[in-house]
Amino acid sequence: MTRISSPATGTMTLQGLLAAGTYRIQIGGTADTAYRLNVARQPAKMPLDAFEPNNSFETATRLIFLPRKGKFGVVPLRSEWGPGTFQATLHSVLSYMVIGWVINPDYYELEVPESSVFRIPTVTIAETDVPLHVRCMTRHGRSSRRGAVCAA
Amino acid sequence: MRSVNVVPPQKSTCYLEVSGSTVNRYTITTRLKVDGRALPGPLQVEFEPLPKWWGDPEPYRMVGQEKYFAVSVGEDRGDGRAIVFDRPEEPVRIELLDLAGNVVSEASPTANGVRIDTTNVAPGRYLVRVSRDSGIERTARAVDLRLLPPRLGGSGERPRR
Repeated sequence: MTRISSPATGTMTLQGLLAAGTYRIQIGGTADTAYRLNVARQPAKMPLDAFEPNNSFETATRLIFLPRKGKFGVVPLRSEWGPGTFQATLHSVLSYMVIGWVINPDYYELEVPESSVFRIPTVTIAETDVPLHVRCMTRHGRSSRRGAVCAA
Repeated sequence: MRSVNVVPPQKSTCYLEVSGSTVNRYTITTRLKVDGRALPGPLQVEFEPLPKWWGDPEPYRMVGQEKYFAVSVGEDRGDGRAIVFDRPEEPVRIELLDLAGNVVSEASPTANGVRIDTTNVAPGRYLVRVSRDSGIERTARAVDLRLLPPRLGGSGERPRR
């Protein structure tokens, strides 16, 4: 939250992008006074994340679970991320297909290594502002078996 | 949903689609996890494998009193013959345990860090236990654990031929 004070006009503004939920505002002072509390909601433009553009299978962001040994010597042809935690956003774009703003889905390409009980490749989606949908599908299942292959 | 774990099929290339009906923020994490139920004894909790030092992992921020990592010794020549952490700001005890929870080796301080020598440890799967000294009251302060290359951890590491 950013705080903007204007002593000349006696106003103070708190402004920020908040996740959905219940918040409390505490107002204090040193003496009796009257005040006006104004809460306003404005549409916020969600910034693009570092993965963009990743709005299709073709532009999917590649995520890996193991660091590559050749990291320092060999430059991969495509950029890839991981292992680790990254911030991302779903944002709106102006669509000429539906003539309006739509929410762009994000696509990730997962390069999954061999698994055992001692190394289970896991993707975690967390810290969402509001609930979202996650689907996992194989390359083979792109057309027919969407969402049927991953354990969540 | 607000948080979900997805376990994709092994040895595959698959895709994840994240969508919603409104703008949103989220974090996405890729990692390997260890199924604690595979371990005997009382240590059946969720582990993470110790990251490979050559992947230049971010320091692990330890907030609690104790943390376990799974590690494979002698599996990969690139791992070297020691597990070495940069010297943390707060004293910690670092031990190598077998899967039954017995202490196999204990880390000793070196000039640059804290080192577990694995030269004489039989190849296999082990656990690394990091614990903050019991004599110190638990504080909200976190301890950063950074892995170092075995060669930077002090003497005793000789190149393999």
